[in-house]
Amino acid sequence: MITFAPEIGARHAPTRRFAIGEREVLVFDDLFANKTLRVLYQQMRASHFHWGAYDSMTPPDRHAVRWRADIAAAAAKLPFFEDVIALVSQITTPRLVLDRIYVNFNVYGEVHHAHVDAPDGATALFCANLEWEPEWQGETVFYDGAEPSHVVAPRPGRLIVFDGSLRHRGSPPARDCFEPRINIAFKFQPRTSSHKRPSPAARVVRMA
Amino acid sequence: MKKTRKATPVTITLKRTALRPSQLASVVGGGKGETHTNTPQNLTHRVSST
Repeated sequence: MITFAPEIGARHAPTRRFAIGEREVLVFDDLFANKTLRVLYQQMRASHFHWGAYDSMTPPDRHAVRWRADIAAAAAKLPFFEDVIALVSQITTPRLVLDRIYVNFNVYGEVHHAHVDAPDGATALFCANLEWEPEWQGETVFYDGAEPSHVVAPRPGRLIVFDGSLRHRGSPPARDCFEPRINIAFKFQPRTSSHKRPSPAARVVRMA
Repeated sequence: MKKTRKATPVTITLKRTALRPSQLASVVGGGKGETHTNTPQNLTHRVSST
């Protein structure tokens, strides 16, 4: 299990922090300049997404397909991305390494299933929308066992960092929301993982 | 009375350099087919358990 720094300096302190059992969720707001947020939103809104992302390989999840775009590993050295990676690195014990980055493009009508990302890793979700009304929904829901227990709303520029072993799910925008819910997902794994990354071919999972 | 040691706050250091559109355009987009949100190690676990 990973742990996050118990005390974080006031300048970039989380605006919200909670634990489910011993596993934590940290919420950061207003970390990045508006100019960077505009670039992220405009670029993501105009990007090509592919149809084929789902929550896990279990049968019900595999029928809940969504839009997604991958982000190349070279992004790790770009502004914004390097800051998110540095933030997670600075607050997490043991140190984790970035596994991958991708963008979710969620619209009304989707189905999201609860799942675990990585038993020994961490996930960071960045809300890349420039505006988001509370009524538009699209919250991230965290579970305590089988029960939903905590909810974090999307907010422009918000970064949610959490223990990858926490069961969670996204949720689609409301019917009267005409904006996609755009979030950038950063997945981190232990530095000394004994698991070898499968070849790209092995990672492509075909639908039944 | 035993003193409890307070944890030293971790200072998060961010560069906050502005991201340019051309930088982002070079890394975003596309995909390689159907993928899921679990990490490969979880994928391995799920494959081996079915």
